[in-house]
Amino acid sequence: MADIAVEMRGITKVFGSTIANHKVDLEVYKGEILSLLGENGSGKTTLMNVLSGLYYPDEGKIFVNGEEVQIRDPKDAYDLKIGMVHQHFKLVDVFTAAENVVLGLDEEGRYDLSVTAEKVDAIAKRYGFNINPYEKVYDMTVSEKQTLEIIKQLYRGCNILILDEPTAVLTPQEAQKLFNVIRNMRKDGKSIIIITHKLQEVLEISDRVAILRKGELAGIVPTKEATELSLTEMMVGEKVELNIDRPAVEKKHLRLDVKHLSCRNNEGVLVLDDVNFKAYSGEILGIAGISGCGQKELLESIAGLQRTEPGATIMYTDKHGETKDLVGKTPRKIHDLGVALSFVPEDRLGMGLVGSMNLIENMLLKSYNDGASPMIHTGPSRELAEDIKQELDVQTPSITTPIKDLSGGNVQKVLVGREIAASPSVLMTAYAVRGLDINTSYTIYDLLNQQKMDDVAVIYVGEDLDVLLALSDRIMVLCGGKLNGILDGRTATKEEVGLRMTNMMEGGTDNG
Amino acid sequence: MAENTAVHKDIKEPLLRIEKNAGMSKWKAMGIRGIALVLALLVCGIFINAVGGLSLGEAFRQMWEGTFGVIGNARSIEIRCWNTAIFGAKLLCIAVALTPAFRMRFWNIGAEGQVLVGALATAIVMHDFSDSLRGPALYIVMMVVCVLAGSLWGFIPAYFKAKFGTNETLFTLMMNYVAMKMVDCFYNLWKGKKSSMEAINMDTHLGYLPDVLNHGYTINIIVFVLLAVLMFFYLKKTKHGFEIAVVGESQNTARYAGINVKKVIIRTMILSGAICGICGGLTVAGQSHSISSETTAGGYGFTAIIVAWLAQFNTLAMIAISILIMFLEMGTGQLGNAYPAFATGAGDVLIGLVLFFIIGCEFFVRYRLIFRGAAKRAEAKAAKGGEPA
Amino acid sequence: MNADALANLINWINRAVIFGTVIMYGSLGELLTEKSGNMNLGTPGTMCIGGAFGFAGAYLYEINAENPSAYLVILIGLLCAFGSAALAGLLFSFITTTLRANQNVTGLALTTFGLGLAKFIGMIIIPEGTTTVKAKFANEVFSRTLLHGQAGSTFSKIFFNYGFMMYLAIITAIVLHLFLTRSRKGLNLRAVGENPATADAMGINVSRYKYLATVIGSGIAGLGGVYYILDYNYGGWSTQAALSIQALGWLALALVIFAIWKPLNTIWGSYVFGVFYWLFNFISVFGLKVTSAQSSLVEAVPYVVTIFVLILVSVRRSRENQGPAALGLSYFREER
Repeated sequence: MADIAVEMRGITKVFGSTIANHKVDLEVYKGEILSLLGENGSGKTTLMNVLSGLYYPDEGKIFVNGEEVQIRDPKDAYDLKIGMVHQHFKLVDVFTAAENVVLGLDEEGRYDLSVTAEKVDAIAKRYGFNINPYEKVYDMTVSEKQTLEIIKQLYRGCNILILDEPTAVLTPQEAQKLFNVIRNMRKDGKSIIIITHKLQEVLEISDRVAILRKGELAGIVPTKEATELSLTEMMVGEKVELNIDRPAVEKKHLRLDVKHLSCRNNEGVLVLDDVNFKAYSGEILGIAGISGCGQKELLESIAGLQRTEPGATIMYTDKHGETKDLVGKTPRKIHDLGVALSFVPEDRLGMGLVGSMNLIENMLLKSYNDGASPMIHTGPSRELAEDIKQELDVQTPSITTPIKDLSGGNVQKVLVGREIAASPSVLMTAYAVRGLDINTSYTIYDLLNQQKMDDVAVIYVGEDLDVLLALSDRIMVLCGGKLNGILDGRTATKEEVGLRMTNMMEGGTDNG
Repeated sequence: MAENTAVHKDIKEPLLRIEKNAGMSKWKAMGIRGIALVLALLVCGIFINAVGGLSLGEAFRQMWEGTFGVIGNARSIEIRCWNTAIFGAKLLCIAVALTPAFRMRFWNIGAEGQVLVGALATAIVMHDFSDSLRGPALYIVMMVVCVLAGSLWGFIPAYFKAKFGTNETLFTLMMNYVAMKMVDCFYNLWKGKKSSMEAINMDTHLGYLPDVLNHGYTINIIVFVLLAVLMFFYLKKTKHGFEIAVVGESQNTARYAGINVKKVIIRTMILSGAICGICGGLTVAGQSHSISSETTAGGYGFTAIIVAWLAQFNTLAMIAISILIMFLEMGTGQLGNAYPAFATGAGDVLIGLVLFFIIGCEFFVRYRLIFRGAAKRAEAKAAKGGEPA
Repeated sequence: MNADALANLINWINRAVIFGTVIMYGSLGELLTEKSGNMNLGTPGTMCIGGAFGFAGAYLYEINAENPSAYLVILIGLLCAFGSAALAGLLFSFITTTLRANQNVTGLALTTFGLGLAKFIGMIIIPEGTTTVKAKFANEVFSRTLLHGQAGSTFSKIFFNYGFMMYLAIITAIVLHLFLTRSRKGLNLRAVGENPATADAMGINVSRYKYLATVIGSGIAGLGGVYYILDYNYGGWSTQAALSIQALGWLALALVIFAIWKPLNTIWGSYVFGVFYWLFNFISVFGLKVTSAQSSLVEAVPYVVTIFVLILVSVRRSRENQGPAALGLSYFREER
């Protein structure tokens, strides 16, 4: 095989009490595309941050072209021709493309942006990009920003390019374009590492796949010999037998009836486009879609956290058959109307909970305003905190420990526990098991099923299609903010859902 | 060894790395702060010795006497302690006023101005309405206007912060100087042709707070301390206090929990300004009976920021730090009286030095340093004690 | 307009420009500092330090030298001012960048410290029994104008009636402008203030930029202090002068906002502030009479205008013409 471009030996990186990487060995050859595969939280990004100089490893050695090197900061990495495109772009908004490209460079000659612009154009032509060097970053689309990021690395002459979840924010067409560019770079003898958790992409683009599991290297295989199943097994560790219950509930009642729901994001782009659906008690409605295609906005607009476009109705029917329109109401108003709506948001510590507060105070978040007294009553919250700690087996020294000191799984137990304790009629969850271990994930699935049996309408936004298919009664697929069919969870196949996630179908069916 | 370095001259782990320190015990943290304070006093001692040629013990004695009076001299103790109490209580009151805003992560550095407008409003009532308003009505109006004026000074930057995200640090800073110039305006107006302004209602004492325990400002001390206690409960036990804490930690979580973030920002800043206003109003009514942009707030609006921040919103710690600042301020004042070398400036230098140490030491509470080779040493230690591979 | 009024007007402009130059130094220094994301509320104290040490250096030189040289007194005055103020900036950088302490609190402590130190240094120099002392020779050198005391035309009276430091301030502003917009280092510095995480990922040494910008910025601000003493205040030092420098220091902070963080704007902005400050003395040009009470209100105008600029900048929400996005925040790479 070809020469080794970079080699990492025994890399260990610890954050506080969590071991992000443990003795990872990895090598990348010249002129190859390596996929770095792993579940969320498996340490992929941390490992690459070590290679690109953002983190310094606690242990381990790195060799570039056969020589041991020390990468203390990104400058060292650039000197070794290693560049990384982060998931959150490292761009200065108020600068132009060209200014971002030359940022931090110590080039020979006079500082002249027109020279830079010419070089940028040349790079763009060579690999098949489109870019305007004089455009300000804040005027760019996500895809343009990514293009700029890659050009920035190429401009620096990077031979080893790391891309962190590059397709997460792209449309399928944009992703294909990106893959073509990556192939062109491989032809040029460059090494490309793609961090991803999407199996299809891995199989499509890469030469070899390295799989990380819980911070350790689970194996490296040539892509030719890999299948989706074999990769999944390596990712998860054992043969996946998803044994998630799907109890059937006889009596179903309409709880939510959403019509013509559209939303714009801060930049004014339509992120949710005329979505119609119904949610019933006694069932789990799964929502599938690639990230950023409107799931977040959908849940947040129902919860009153997102401004909706005119014309939308969100009719809520309570257990007594009374209906209320939730459009245009604040979360407080929705609560005061007696709407029993619970919401487990994606950003647990940034929206659902307060990290620096303890369990009791986090219970209070939901109920502090109850009653007419201006004082808060911690009594009920203290009891609730104790209950949740006991029933869900939350691992914490005490209920007065700040939540941020808890592990991710325990944090999620606290959040889900609190939302369920409010005895909702509608329970919405976004990525409820992201980053959790298998055991905790199953605890969560069981809790959701219990809720479903208790006459609650559960809405489950997830990224793992296997789980979605096993858990949901119906699966609603979103594609670029549009509704792209609602499928029966018992009959739908993974292929069908996956296809609908990326390709708009004619006449999406609504069997609700 | 030499060879080794020559070959691997590029290969060097960074000399020093820094990591976040998760969960240091309270006692250890207090210990670090204690060490910082001792070091600060040591540096101060060296400075004092170099400048005035007196020993640390002697300097400390002077400072003690300046703050708490000469030991054994009841009269001196009484005078000094009262003096320290009123200024300390005032500093505490302003720090307490700032606390809810800081908890909300709203950088209100406009306390100086908020105190001044409160004082000015009260002074105007005393100066111009003493004849038309008599008895309790005068006092009520005096207090109402200082609350209103302080609230207004808090409301304006809060409104623009909530509505447009206007930078509150710079906004409140500017508001200070607008207030100072307004005070200057009335000062000049009232002093007339005299060289300085004389006390308002000097002959009639209209609007003066009554003497309690022989001092006009006893009521001030009581109110200031009471406000500190009330604020402690407000932040800890009320719904408003809870909302402030949530908004400070995460505005997204606040919105999720149904909190109207803009309303909380504005309401809290009105409260913060109002308490500053009361502080100003009481200072005029009970203590100075006069007004000046230099002495009415006396820079306490700025010092209180440091007090509140150092205490990390803990009212008890605020009392301790207020006393420390008073000790430095009153103490160096006395030092200046006794030794001409300390007459001008030295007091502020000493206060500055102590503050630098206390501010800087927080780093050692929040982060931990890892020196080169620490990992290897730990490894070696582990290998020694660990089981054979 | 009669000759008296014209002379009065020219005098007004002269005073306004000299006043403006003091705060221009302060605000150029603060601007450079803020471009690195450091908000240094210690600038008023730093200016005091620069003023005290610059004055002390120049004064001690002129009373001890047999034949004081103009060049040496300039060199000593500026070096002492710049050096001492830069050290104050170094202290601020160490506490906020290395020890990551809160910038507002550190800045306020530095202002207390700086004012105290300035007063203290002054007290050592002032002979016992007096409250003020004057550096005559240094004042003569610093305030020597291109007119050399001759009566020039109206034009030359308006433009050439200043000491060299007034022109140095303008040059500093232009150099700073060119540095920020036309150089790689300037681009890097702006990136550090806008988005330190990005700058870091691009291989820029964030700490080094923060340190250098703050230290050099503080040094520039210190020049404002020494200019105040040796030119604006006719070479005289007193405790009151230190307090005045501090007050002008706050005005310098306001000017940074007023100039929307653009060095060239500080040139005219500082003179506008100066015109307002001296309005009460010269308003009789317009045939108006102003009391000292009204003049205080006029002095508030620069602050009120600055507040309006601050609001306007935030209301417009334009991506341009804003302060550095990461202003006032510490940066730690491994923050998670």
